[in-house]
Amino acid sequence: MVQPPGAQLNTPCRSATYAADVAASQPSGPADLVPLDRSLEIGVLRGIVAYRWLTISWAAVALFFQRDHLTRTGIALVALGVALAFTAWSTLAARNDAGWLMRPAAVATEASIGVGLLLLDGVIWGGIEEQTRRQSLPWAWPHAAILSAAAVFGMRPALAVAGLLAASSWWGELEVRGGQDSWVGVGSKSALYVLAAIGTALVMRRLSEASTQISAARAREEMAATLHDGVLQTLAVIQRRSDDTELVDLARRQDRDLRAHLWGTPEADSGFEAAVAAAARRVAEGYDLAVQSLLPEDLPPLTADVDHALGGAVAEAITNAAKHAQAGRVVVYAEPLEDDPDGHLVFCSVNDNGTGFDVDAMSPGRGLRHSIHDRIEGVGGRVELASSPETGTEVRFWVGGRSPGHG
Amino acid sequence: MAELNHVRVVIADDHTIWRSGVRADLGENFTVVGEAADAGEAIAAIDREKPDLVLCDLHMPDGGGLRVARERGEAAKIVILTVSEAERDLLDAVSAGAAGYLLKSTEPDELRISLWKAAQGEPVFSPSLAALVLTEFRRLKTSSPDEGLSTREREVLQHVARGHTYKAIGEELFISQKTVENHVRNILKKLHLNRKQELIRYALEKGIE
Repeated sequence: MVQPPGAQLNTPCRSATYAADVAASQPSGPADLVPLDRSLEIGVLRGIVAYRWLTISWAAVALFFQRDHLTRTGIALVALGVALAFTAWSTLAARNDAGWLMRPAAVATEASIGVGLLLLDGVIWGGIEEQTRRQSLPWAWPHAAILSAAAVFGMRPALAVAGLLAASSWWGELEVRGGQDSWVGVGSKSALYVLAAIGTALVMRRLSEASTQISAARAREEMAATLHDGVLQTLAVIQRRSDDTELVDLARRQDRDLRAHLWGTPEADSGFEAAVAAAARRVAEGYDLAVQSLLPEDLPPLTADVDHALGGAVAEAITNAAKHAQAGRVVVYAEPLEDDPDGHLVFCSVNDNGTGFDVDAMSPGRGLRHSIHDRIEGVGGRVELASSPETGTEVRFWVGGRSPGHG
Repeated sequence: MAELNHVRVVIADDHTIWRSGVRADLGENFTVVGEAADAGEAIAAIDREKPDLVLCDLHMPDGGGLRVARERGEAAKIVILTVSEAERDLLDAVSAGAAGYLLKSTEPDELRISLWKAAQGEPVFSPSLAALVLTEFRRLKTSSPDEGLSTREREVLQHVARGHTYKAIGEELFISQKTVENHVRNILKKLHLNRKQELIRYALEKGIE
């Protein structure tokens, strides 16, 4: 299977372990003080800083173009200045220590400024006679307080801030400004505040769920890498260097179980593959024999009886290699057949490096004949046997694709 | 290849205990001329000692076995010795230019034989690697004869995958062992090429220049 270019970077496992080492060796450092699980919120808060700058720029532009229509330009400038000051502070905080932005006091301050702006809104514009409504200066900036509250504290605090801002804008708009025609405008503004609170809180909830899952997956991967580099290496050393057969046996079994856990084994499948895996496990318990099973993913599906027969025959061949041939390793190989003259679908071989035996002298009563030939020929398959002291024994199977009993 | 009485080996692995274990396993036909604990040290040792063979772990600091194979695969025969059975690791190692890929669970006898062969220029190709390559080419199903495997190459690969030695394969196919080795070498070259093209295609699709 071809991997994307990312697959070339084979060292992340290793470097991940190193990063952890480095962090452990330098316990003190301001960056470490921020808990890892808040990184999502910090990212969002940095985004909100950008939002503040956009809205404050817009307010400044609006102020400049409508300066002739304002009744109290001085108050407008002071209001803008306060909002600007908070925006600048939040920028510095986000850059240096984002933890500041997550304090309730920061959110409360921003909400208060928002409330103030909305209340002043009426004063700034108060007394204008034109029918057309003017752009209200702080219209969008206070949203940032709702977003921050939603990002850090969740839905309820965000709704509280939204409610506070909505109430202020009602008061500012209706009482001070006395705008009789602004019901719709103020109503939609309030609706937007509430929607921003709900929307952001929901999105944050989803994001934090996703980020929890991602960090869990990453932790699993790192653990696998650590086990891979440490424990498997140790098991390999024990298997290689110890003379204690029981210890070696234990190490081998642990090695196998750990591999199965880390990379998975095909044993969950039924039929042929399951039978091979089961036989391999059985043989590994009782004999000093390594079974290598090479079954590709693109094998065509076999009918249940063929699957069963092939599984049994392969298991028998593996057991034979272990019991009689004194083999050190067995390779079970299978591949799909495309244009087999007999129409078979799958080829499979079981090869060992054992002592071999004389095929012709083999008596018909021996287990091999009975258990292997009968099984495979019973489902319309073909068996071949090759054996010599030099190359060991190989049992070959051609199965599938033809109706049972036909040959 | 000159006649080898002693194969000069560099062992690269970040575990000291593993290096001393392998050193003990190699026996008298091999001389360990250098040890390295990371990719950089391994490359330095190769440049200094000009060994016949480099036994190299896959996961090491400083770039790992893949970096060693990529940067010194032409200068020395790099055999990757790893605990990883992951398909990706196998194929990446071959693509990077490794001359062989063996598992650390390989029996000492088999390890010695494989390394001896690798030192003499034989491509060390384990049955599992052969099976993977076969599957890979089946998936590619290229129509161009240059990219796909020839019938003979596929036959050779099937035999390797089934666990046969080059000698046995030669006897069965009525060709010399040298010819079998050449086939295997060509297969590796094609695999390398296919993989490169596949990566380029992938990069173009994703819009990476």
